Amino acid sequence: MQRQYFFIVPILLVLLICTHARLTEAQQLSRPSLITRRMNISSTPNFQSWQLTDHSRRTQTLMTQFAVPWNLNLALSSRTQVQLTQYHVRSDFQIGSVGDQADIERIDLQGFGDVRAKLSHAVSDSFLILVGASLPIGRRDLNRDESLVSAALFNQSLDFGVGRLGEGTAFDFGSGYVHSLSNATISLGANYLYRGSYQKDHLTVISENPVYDPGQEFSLAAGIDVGKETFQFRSDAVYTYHTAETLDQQNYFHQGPNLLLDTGLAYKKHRIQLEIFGQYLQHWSSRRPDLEGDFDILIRDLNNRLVYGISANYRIGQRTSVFGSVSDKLIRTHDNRKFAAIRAYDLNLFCRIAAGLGFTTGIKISDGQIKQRVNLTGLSTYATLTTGF
Amino acid sequence: MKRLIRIYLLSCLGFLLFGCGISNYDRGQEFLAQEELKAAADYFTAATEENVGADEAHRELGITYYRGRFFPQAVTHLQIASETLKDERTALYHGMALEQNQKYEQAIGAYEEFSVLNDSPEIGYQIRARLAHLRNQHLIQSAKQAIQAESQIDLTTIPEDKVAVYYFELLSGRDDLVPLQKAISTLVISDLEKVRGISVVPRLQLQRMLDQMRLQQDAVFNQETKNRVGRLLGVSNVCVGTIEGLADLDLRLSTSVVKVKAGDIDAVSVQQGAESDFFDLQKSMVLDILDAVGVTLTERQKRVLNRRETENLSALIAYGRGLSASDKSDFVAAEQYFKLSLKEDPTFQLALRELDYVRLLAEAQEQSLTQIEELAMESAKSRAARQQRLNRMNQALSRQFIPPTAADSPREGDIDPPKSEIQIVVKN
Repeated sequence: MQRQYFFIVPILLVLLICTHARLTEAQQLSRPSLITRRMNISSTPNFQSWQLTDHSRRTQTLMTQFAVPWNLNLALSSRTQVQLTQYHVRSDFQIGSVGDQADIERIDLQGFGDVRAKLSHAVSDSFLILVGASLPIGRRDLNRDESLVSAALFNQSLDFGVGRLGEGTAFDFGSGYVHSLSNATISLGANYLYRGSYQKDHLTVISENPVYDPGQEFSLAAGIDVGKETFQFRSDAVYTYHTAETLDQQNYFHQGPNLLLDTGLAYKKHRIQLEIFGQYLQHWSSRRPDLEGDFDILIRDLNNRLVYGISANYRIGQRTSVFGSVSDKLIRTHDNRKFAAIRAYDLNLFCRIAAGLGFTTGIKISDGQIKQRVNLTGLSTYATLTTGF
Repeated sequence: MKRLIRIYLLSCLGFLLFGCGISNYDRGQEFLAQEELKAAADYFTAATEENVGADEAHRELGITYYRGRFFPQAVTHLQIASETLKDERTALYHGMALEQNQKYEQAIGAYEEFSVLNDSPEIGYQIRARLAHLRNQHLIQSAKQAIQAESQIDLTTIPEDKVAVYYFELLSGRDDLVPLQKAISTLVISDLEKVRGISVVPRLQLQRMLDQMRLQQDAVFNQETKNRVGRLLGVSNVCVGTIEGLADLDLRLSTSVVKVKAGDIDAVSVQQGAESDFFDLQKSMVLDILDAVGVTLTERQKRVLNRRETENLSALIAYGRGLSASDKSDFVAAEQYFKLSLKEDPTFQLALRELDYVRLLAEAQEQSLTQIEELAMESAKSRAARQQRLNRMNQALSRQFIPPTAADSPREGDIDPPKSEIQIVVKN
């Protein structure tokens, strides 16, 4: 962590000292009143800035993103909820010279994303059905420079909230089942994501402006929670299989499957919750067929990711909660070589300003290295106003 | 940048410290958990005057009063809370406070709301039993109130379409037909309930009224009693009848309709036939009754009406015995009779319904509100655990559709070309 951010440590310590356990029986049965409202509208403007300094190439890359989403949650009944999301986003990309190299002009990408609608219906206390649809009204006509910005947003070392803007029509179907045992709750689920094809400019592997079919995805998920009182353990595993991506109906890439393991151990006492957590994402190799179909090229295009850390959540009073975490992200290549290591400090605050009006804000500061030659610092901040009817 | 971050964090800290003062609500929670109810009530009272979370403060104040057995105050505050809060804690304590205040009808509404919010198996059956008990209590209470206000009954306000079916009087000495007195009445009620345009008083309501009238045995079938029951139940017509066991196992069912407003009685039906034709006689009797109260049936309604609840006389007799046992609160015997009835005719829905009802009442006899409170808390924990797991499953399954970050959902063209070694796999 860079020395300039060390002043955060005493602030976090003060916050932890401020926290002391108090009894709140009401929490066992009641939820925050905003959630029980029939409709919530919120917007979470989010600003992110990442600076990558490559000392060997003597370049400094600055990437920023400012996303303004709107989000609507509508409870059709106590069991059925509809969520609508869309955002407007502006992303900037700039390479500056550390030494005598020339600067690259600032490139930006901005526009609206697709509208995503998701309906979740709890058939019973134990069975959940999910249906989603994506309306393709987001921006797709990117020029070459904008495509460059878009590609940079998917950097595994960074945490950009929004990647591509517009895609084709998509439909999502999933269901999950939950079963309670004596002190444990287990779940199983499956999901199918259909993605429609669309014309993709500037991907001229086979033809100019080809029709791109991003393929479909099948996911299987299993999870377990153990403990309902002071100590709670949670663990989820999600395996995702991708079908081949095609250009003009010709297979050209087949992304490898991935497995996500997400686990945490929480200590809950009255109004405080402490958690140690870990998340591991394993990517298997992707394949690219040759044009004659005689062989596949195995591509280890996505690195594996491990995130672990500690978080604390404290409800200060009837109207205020604070959440903070410190986490390390390690990215390793398929042959287990260190690719990147990033530490992040996250602090969030929730406050009920008035009946039916909530305010949330947060800041996340990241610091690390990529390939031991690129220094990386990141800043992310957001603020949300939520109102319910 | 550093200065901006510092200002931001210091603002957050200031904001936190500003909000760090322990609120009245939280202090109330602490005292409530320690059962220091007086102090808890004071803090919650102060919290009700704040502009954020006043509804939750009213709920907790209501619960504090409930635990202190100040039930009218509990009802007042829980009523205010329930206007905006639709959570199970509010609904449960509101129901219990109303029950303790003997406001049974409103308590039924609150418990029903609770069962919508929490229909988990841990508590669902207990709440159903409580509801059965409360409905029974409500009928008793309504009967008492009707008798107390009997002198103020205004016959002109009684609706024309409301009908009661009185128990049938047994005229012969055939004791084996005694259970039919209530069983026939229930069959007729079941038939009349299928007809649009008339409203029928449930049998249990009639029974609770008779219980509260505390009649002598020989007064039950007096003409004046039947008329009085009609007035107390607020009906225009009371269907009354007799059963006669004749020679050669023949039966005669005679029916009349008491016109409550006019105070006179019209004979409407006499059906006579073999015992084996009992259910035909009963259906003909119902058609005569409907004719007498001025209801004309369509062909479809006639077809619906002709469907028989049972065609087994033994099942009906066992059912009648079960009703008598149930009316005497002998739920063990009643359960045995209804089981016997269902053994004779497993499709007899009225017996099945009564069996469920007596089981619920038997369960309610064993219940205490403290037990329900504890069960509800336990059930809420289990339910919250399931809900939490469902939410996590929801997030896990939605990762590809709504990815948390861009890096969680890359595809070809979104990522840099591979820098690591590649491997070529030759296909067979």
